[in-house]
Parts: sequence; C-alpha cells; structure tokens
Amino acid sequence: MFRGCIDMFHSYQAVTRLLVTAGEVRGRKKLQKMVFIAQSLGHAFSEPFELHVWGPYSEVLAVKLKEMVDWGIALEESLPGPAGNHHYVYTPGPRAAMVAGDQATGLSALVEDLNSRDATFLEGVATALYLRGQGRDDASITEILPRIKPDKFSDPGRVEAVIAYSDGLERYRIPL
Amino acid sequence: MKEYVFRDPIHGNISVTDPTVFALIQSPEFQRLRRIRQLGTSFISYPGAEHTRFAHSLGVYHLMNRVLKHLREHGVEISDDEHAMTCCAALLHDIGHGPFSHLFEKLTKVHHERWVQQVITSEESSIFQILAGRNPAWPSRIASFISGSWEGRPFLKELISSQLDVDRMDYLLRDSRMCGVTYGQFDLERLIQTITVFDNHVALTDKGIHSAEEFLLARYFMYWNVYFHKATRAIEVVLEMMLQRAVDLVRGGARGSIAYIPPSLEPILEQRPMTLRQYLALDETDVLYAIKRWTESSDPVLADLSRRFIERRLFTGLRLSGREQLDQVAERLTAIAEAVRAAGYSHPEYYHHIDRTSNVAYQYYVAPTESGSPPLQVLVPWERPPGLREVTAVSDVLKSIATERVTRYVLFVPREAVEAVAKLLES
Repeated sequence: MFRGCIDMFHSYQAVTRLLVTAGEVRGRKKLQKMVFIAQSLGHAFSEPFELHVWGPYSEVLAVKLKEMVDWGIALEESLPGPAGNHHYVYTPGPRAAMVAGDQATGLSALVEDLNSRDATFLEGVATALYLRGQGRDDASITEILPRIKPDKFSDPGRVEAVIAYSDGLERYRIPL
Repeated sequence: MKEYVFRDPIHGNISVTDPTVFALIQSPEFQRLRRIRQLGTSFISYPGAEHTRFAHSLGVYHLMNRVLKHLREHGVEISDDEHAMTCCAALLHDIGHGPFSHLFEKLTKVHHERWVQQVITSEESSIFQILAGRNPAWPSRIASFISGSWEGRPFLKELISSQLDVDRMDYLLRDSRMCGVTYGQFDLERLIQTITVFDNHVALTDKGIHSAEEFLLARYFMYWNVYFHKATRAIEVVLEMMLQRAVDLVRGGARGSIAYIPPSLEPILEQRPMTLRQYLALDETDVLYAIKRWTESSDPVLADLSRRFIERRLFTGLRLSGREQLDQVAERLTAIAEAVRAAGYSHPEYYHHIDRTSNVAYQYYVAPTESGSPPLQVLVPWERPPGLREVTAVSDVLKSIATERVTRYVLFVPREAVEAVAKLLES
C-alpha cells in the first residue's frame, strides 16, 4: 500500500543498489548504460529509455540521479575534462545503505562485469541490446552500429566484440 | 488537391493539402487529443490554459512543414517522401499522451512513448491503417523516427527532438499565449530563417545566435514560472494522492466505497496492464467526471481529496532549500507524518508529499557524452577553421544561464499542519 514520502525514497532503491554494488561509477553515460543493460536483462529498473545520439538514455534516470545526490544517497564528484568540460564520478552517499536495503538477486556479478568496461564499449552494447529489443537480428545490428556510430564502431572487430559480449550477458538475465 | 485550413491562434492559418495528413487528423485516435489538455492541471493557475494536445500537434505539424520548406529552398536535399513522412511524424509525436500524462505514467509505470509506438504500429489502430495505406514501410519508419531508433538522416529526427526542435517552438509560443504571459515568446520567424543543416545535423547560422538566446531563455522562464507554478504543483499533488487513494481502496478490497469507477479507469485502479483499446478510451472527460462522483464517496479521504480538486482547496507548499533542510526532512519523515495526523488527518500518508521539479536551462559544460542529446550548434564562418561551435562558445548570455540541473523541492501539507511542520523544519 502507499506509504507517502517513504515511497519517494523507495523509488531510488534500484539505482542505489547498483551504485552500492559498484562502489564507484565513472561518468553519467556509463551509469545510464549500466542501468539500461541491467533493465534489459530483467533487473528491476523502471526508468524509460529512448535511443539518443550516445545510445539509450533516460531523462527520468538523469533527474533521479540528481535527486539522489541532493538527498545524500549518492555522492557526485566533478572532475575536469578536456576542452573545459566536466566528467562525474558517483559513489554511495551517507544515506545509501538506508535506501538500498538488501542486495538484489544476481545484480553483483552483472554490475562488476559492466563496471569493468569502458563507457564507449557499453554504449555499443546498450545500443545493440536496444536494437535487439526492437526486433533487429545480429546481422542487422552489425550493419546498423557502424552506420549510426561511425566514429566509434567502424572497426568490424569492435562490433563483433560488442555483439559477443551482449550474448554473454544472457547469463545474468533474471528468469521471468 | 483539396486544401483544409485550420484557424490557429498562434500560427494563423494552418493549411493541410496532403490527404494522408487530413485522414490522420480525422482519425479517432487523433481526435481524442481534443479531450486532453496540453498543460494538464495548469488551468488552476492560468485560467486560459485550456488548449489541447490536438491544437499543439497541428502546430508542430505546421512548423515542421515550414522548416522543411525553408531547408529545401536553401539547398538541403530532402525528398518528397522524406518531407511527407517527417510531417506525419511531427503530427503524431504526441499521439500516445493520456490525460494528466505525467501522473498516469507514474501510476501505470508505462511511459507515453510506448503508447506512441503501439498507436502507430498496431494493426488495430486506424493510424496504422492510414500510414500503411500510403506506404507499407511508413508505420515502422515513423515509429522509429519518434522513438529515436531512426537510422535515416539525423537532422530530420533532430527537428522533432533536440535542443532546437519544432515541438518546443510550438509549445513555448502556444503555452505562453494561452496562459497570458510573455515568458515563452521568441522571434520564430528569425529562428526558422537561421536554421540550417551541417554535416547532416541541425545547426543555426551565426545570424541565429540571438534567436537561440531568446529561445533557450524562453524555455527557462516558462519552466519556472508556468510549468512549475506552485499552485499547479499543489493541485497535481492533490490529484496524485486522490488517484493513489482510489488504487489503495481497490487493492484493499474496498472498491464499494468508491462512488463510481469509469470503465476506462478500471485497469489503472486495479493496477493491471492496459490494452491499446483501453488506453485510447481514456481521456480527461472520464477522469474529471470520476472526480466529481468521488466527492460522494463514502471513503472520507477520497471524498476530501476530490472536493479539494473541484473546489481548488490546495495544499500549502513549504519550500525546502539547502542540503541541511533536506537532511532534516529525511530524518523527520515520521515526525512530519505525525504532525499532519495531529492536525486532524487520520491518513497522513495522503496529506504530505515532497514535490520535485527539475529543469536545466541548457547543459553546456557537461561533456556532451555525459548527457543525452547533442548540444545546440552554431555555424561560425569567422573562426579558423570555420565550422560548428557549441552555442555557449559564441553567446555570453547563454553561458551565464547554462548550468547544471536545478531541482526544486517543496513539501506540501494541508494548511492546518503548516505551523507544526514548519517548526519541525526549523529546529
């Protein structure tokens, strides 16, 4: 049943669990892709995603992350990047343990695996999974990925690695 | 070729000569948008905010047509098929919205984008039949266009969804005019004149810098003054709590205490998935009639919240500012609930709510890969090498308002509980 304001904190639980499990996530893009990939494997993330220039992106998740920082559930460190822009590093905040509660089933191994990859690679994986969700087969994805991301995925070997890795992620899928 | 003309308060005459577009407008799915207000509950703050998603969708179609004509006249190659298809996508971009969209998305946990996809690609929809009748590939192409998995030329997609899209152009002007404010006004004619395409992406010529400034500032001011108006947020909280109470009554086996449940609302109150047909049967008419009937509910909470909505008896908002105050709220949630209970509300969970509104004027110094959409770019011929520059590199005005996301938190409680809750936040 509805519990009022407590439900607001509950809505941050899934993302908090991911952050607690990861310990640290470098970059908003990386966090976005990790959540999307986990969601596509059946883990309990409810944020809606759209395909943007840099792969699946959720404005709801972006807002949620900001709120988590405001409420002390996540910590955000801004690091200078090239050309005067910034990158962000996220770690669990003082309220993270309270919000995260118990560990989610099967999330640890997946998060550790994803967190070990760079953001651009995860962008490719997330895009491939998004396209699979739209009913595209591997042959189609192999053709589309270099076309829509020529600067990052023009190397056929890299595309192959993305698809192979996406296949391997099935071991983390939550059964229905 | 027959011409249909729609008289519009923003654009004057909106002409439709494409029979496919007219057929789409005449479809039941599109006509439904006449019964869904563009701004949901904003009429509570701005009495003129009665305009509909129908009018807005026509406006977006009209602007897309104008921009594409402008680009073609200035040498950008766009085929007749691309032009027609993009205009249809513009017309249908909001076809999946429901009444009080944001709230119902929260309750159903289904984003309106999914409904857009279904309306366009489901064979039971007349939208699908009309599009497929024109070109069998159109339903899936238009759906992918709107969803973002579009593989065609990026600038066509960006004209529908980006920092500089026709959707924003129309709603800023329309919402501003209908609400009786000037925050959303900008020089549309100049902006369109300065739109160009560079390397297959939307950009502005250098002559458009000031138009871009006006446009982005318009969005900033409209968000904080109109879309996030305190009274609008307050009534939306009442509506959310009311719907949540109705859901809880059904879940708890007390649906008999609800005076009336329209068939279109049943799946939502029963928290079960909706079919497309059920979703399309729901519009504001059902919701508002249900609220009126719920004032007669034997459940005192549902009845009270419904009367508050009908009679505009809003909750009072306490603005929360600074990390210290947010920490206080987080530590004192139970005490806040008890203060509300002590003020006479036996179900305090429906009578206090933390409202969060968030906007970012323009993200510029975040690395583009950190955010979702590409930055607004300007073609600058005077720099070496000439090319695209992110807009804040050429505009001090935008640089000054470009900021990280700003979130406003307001704790809404009934007037009777304000003093006690405010004391809790001070101590």
